[in-house]
Amino acid sequence: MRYFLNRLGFLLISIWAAITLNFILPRMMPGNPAEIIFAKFQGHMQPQALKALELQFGFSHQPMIVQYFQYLGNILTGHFGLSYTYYPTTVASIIENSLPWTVGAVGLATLISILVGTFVGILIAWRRDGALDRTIPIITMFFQSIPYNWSAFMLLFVFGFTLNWLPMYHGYSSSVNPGFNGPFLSSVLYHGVLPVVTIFISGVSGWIVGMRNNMINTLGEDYVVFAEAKGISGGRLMFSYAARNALLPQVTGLAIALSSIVSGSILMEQVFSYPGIGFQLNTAVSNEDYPMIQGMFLIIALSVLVANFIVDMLYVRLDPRVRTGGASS
Amino acid sequence: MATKRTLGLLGASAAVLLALTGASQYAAAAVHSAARPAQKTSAPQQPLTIVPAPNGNFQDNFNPFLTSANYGTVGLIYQPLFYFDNVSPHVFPLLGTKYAWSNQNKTLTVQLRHGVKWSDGKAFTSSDVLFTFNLLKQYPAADTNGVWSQLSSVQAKGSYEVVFNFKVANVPFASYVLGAFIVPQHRWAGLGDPTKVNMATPVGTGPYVLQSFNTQDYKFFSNLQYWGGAPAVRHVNFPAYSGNPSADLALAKGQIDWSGLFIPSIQSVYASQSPHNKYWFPPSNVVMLYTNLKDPLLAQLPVRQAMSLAINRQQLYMEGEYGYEPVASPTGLVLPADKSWLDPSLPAADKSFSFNPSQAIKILEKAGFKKNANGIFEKNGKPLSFTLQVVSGWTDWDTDCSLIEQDLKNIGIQVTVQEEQFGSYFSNINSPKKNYQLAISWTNTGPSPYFLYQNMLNSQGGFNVEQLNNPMINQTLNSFSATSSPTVQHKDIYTLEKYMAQQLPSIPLVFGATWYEYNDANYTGWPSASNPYINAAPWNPISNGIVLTHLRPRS
Repeated sequence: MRYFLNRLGFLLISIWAAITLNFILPRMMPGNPAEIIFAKFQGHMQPQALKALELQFGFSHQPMIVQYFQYLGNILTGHFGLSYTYYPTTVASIIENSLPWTVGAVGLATLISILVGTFVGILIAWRRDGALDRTIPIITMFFQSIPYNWSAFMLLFVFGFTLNWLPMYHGYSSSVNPGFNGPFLSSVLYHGVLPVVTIFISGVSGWIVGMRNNMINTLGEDYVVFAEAKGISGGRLMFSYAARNALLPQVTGLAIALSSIVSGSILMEQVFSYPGIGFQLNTAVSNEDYPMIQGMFLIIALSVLVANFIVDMLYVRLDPRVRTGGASS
Repeated sequence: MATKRTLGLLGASAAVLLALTGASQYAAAAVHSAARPAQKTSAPQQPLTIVPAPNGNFQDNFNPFLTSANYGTVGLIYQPLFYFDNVSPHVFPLLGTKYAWSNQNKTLTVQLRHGVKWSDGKAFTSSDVLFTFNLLKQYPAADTNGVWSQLSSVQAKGSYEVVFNFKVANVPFASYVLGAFIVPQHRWAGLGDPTKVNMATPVGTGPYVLQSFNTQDYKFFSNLQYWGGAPAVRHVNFPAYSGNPSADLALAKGQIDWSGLFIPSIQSVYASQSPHNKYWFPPSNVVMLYTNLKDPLLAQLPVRQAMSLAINRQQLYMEGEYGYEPVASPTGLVLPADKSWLDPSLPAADKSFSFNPSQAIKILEKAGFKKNANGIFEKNGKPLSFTLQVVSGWTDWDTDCSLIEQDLKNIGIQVTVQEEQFGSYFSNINSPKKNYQLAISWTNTGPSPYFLYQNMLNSQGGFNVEQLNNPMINQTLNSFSATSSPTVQHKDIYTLEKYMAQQLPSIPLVFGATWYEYNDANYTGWPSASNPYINAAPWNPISNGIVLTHLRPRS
């Protein structure tokens, strides 16, 4: 219980720090969103338009401290304000429209990477120095070390452009009617293949290699040798004895991976024109769209902190040493 | 500027996870599009697909008062009285048919078109025009062109005549007044501040009506009761492409008919892929090396002359600008668009730039500069050493700047390139208190060369980056704006051309181009170098609608 309160307090303080930084950082950027919109028109908008834009956005000239408390109040009541880039659409509705796509595609890809990576890691560690153990880590590491956007673009070029097997862009085909119907759902799946595969091949290596090394360490432990000597079956030894204990560091990795799901995959979404949050985040930052930056970073910060909190709690169940503050080790 | 970008396991659960995310939010969108006017198609026809620029998810907003309105809002749906083109010299009458100046060019009388209907069937009259202008007056945030800074009143005379009264004669400003889009009074009257409205069901007079919307694609259908006759292109699609890679490939494949994308090595990537893949990058403004005239060294004409002679513009054109943006004119005119304004009596030396570093050195020596121990020219202990500001990540300009740095170093002028984030760069050059020595930037153009000169050279101009304050120039610009006589206007522009070329208030480098690619497999009638009838940029409001009405299906 004390551990729980301790962690909860830490969570709350981190959230407050994140929210405050979120307020300060965008305001330290030079320039303002009206000027950036003006610049996008590169000489095709009259300079007097700047005044009207500043009026439209209603820039606040109140002291920072007043703005800060207004901002805190708005966040507590769930008001992230209006986006400047898509004025007057609310930030909340932009997040609502784009976040599900990212969580769907990146989340699915991450889950598959973890499951496949861990399982393959267990297998090749069990048969270490076998043919698979010699090839798989090298091949997957090769794909991981290719710059991510390049591999995405190559997949797009080969399977989308040259072979015509898979769509080159978008989350679903423009000929289907979005809604809960068969053609739309299958279109979403079909369009999700390339983005999911890209994330998978560029991320799976870490999980395989991590799990393999943990396994090899665990397999050398005395209790495993003892269990083997007792004549426990291979499968049981592999999964219940060795893999179970080797999983702990993977859970830590899971926390980090979960939090990056929400921040999305800016490059993947750019290459495939996938309708997720990564692109919107990029747009928000380059347009100095403070309300959108604040809204999105808040969601990201919250998801990182909450994921960490959940993993901390999970650890308590998985590893009793955490609960007792390491007293028993 | 160049913008630069295990399935077996999935089974049912994966399908649901991926699909659910998309499905839930679109239930609303589907209902909403059903409420829009349904149109009957007469003959099956290939839709025309337009990608003006990379764009993330669209928002369901067709409010013309906002810069964030979706492409096509102004032009396909809403129209102004007239459109003054900035590439060709043409003026297109839209909701107006004629206009005339009177009262020493302070009164502008406009005849409106008869028989125009809003897309909901109601008639368009002068009260809509009056309503729109009063809206701009009441809500200055909506008045992006600042028309009420020039107007004193607007009156209707009957249903088809409107009179605009100006505070002072400002003839070129008519392009903003007459170019303001008109909204229907019966739809906007109860909505309050127009900049706070989310307009999902727009009603306009333009050639198209909105057919359906979702965040990655929206569609228009031709307006069957359009006053100019329903456009031959029936279906127009705007899909969202968030990055250049997928958009460039789709363009090369012929899946996009009209775009405004920047594509390096366009010949091999795009044009060679199909005989129908075509492009035209017309010059549309001037990229300028601004010289801060408040700097005691840059204020000296020989220094600016030497810099101009030492810059190898041909290299900027071919290396920095990918061979897309040709060398600018010393006059500041955008050529060939402004060729009718070019002074025929201008000496050859003022018509084109020469690259002559040895001449540059002579000019500096004659002006009393001597090379110091570091090989940098100096006078009275002040070396010719400047910083040059540019936006980091605008790769073509970044390359230009490093080429300029090298060129100037060769003649003994030291330049340090300072790459800045856009925000700080822009406030350094555009705030009242300028904080730069040299900077590369654009010019603000309009339907005639007056706009570039007015913004840049008038001491009160909107983009007077170099801080010129010359009474003769201000006087010439005022003379231009007060007259509706083409002879006087031409004479004034000739004066400005000569001043630009001989006094170099700033140094023109290359022309800024407009990116424009089109595929003529299905439709013909596109603007091109041989038929430059209008600005062809698909993101340019108003002209995009006019281009669409000029297209015909290929038979």
